[in-house]
Amino acid sequence: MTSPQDDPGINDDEVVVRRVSRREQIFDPDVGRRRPASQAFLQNGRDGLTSVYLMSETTPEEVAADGDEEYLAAVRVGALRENGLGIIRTPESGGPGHCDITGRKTRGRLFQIVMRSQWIPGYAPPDDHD
Amino acid sequence: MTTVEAPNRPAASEPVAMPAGMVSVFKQIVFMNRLDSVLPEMRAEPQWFEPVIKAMAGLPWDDDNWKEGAVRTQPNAAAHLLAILAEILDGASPAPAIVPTWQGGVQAEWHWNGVYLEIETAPDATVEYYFLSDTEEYEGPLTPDNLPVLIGQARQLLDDAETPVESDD
Repeated sequence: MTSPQDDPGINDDEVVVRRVSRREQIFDPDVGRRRPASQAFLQNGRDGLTSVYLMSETTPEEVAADGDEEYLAAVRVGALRENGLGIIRTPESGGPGHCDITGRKTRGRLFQIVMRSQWIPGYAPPDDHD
Repeated sequence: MTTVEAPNRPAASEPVAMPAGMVSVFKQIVFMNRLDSVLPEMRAEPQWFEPVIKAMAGLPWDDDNWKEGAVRTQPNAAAHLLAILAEILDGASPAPAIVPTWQGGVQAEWHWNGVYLEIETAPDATVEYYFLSDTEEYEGPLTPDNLPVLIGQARQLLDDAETPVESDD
């Protein structure tokens, strides 16, 4: 398997944010909280690019304003790479801070990523299972 | 002449509008001739059935832009998933979360007892699933050959199961 396209200039400790539709967030009884479904990190197929935003170069308010999805989930760039994915800057398609997750988004990889994602405060679904 | 009183009927509950897409789901099940597998489960009132139907009612049946680049849920994909659930789940199985996929399919997802299982049905009738436990991992198509394997894997969700009540709207 070839390595995914990746920008080494983006540090592992950077955080990227993904917009999540209310229909793609679920309650996970094994961890006792809501999290994105694995489908939330899919866009344009398993080999397609997935839009995210670098938090160091934009704000949650700007990301949220750019789409209709209700929630924002954050994940470390290092978590993407540890699961065989890459990241490239694509400001031309989404403005400042816009990036795309590259590589094949297998179900196993996406499950690991959503399990390591966290909601951005103020952009999290209400948790009715507390 | 003796009269027999009609049994007390429960008070009528609020009528619930059935989304057009869900009507199509049931028509698809009939079309697929899968009622023989679905109906016995319905008669036994499996724990997973009502939460799944409620969740499916909330899928984007009429909305092509529920997510950037997405299309509305296709009834045949939902019907296919329902038929598979009836085939692989036990009456006491926990209900999965139900989410739409960007290309009009439906995904069922469980994370329970350290076991993760997701099953996706696509509008083109393909089915893929992913299973992860402490000792086993599989990702690929569902075929007649590995259906018994999936049934065994789904049973692992049952260990000490206490069905989570999902209250997504």
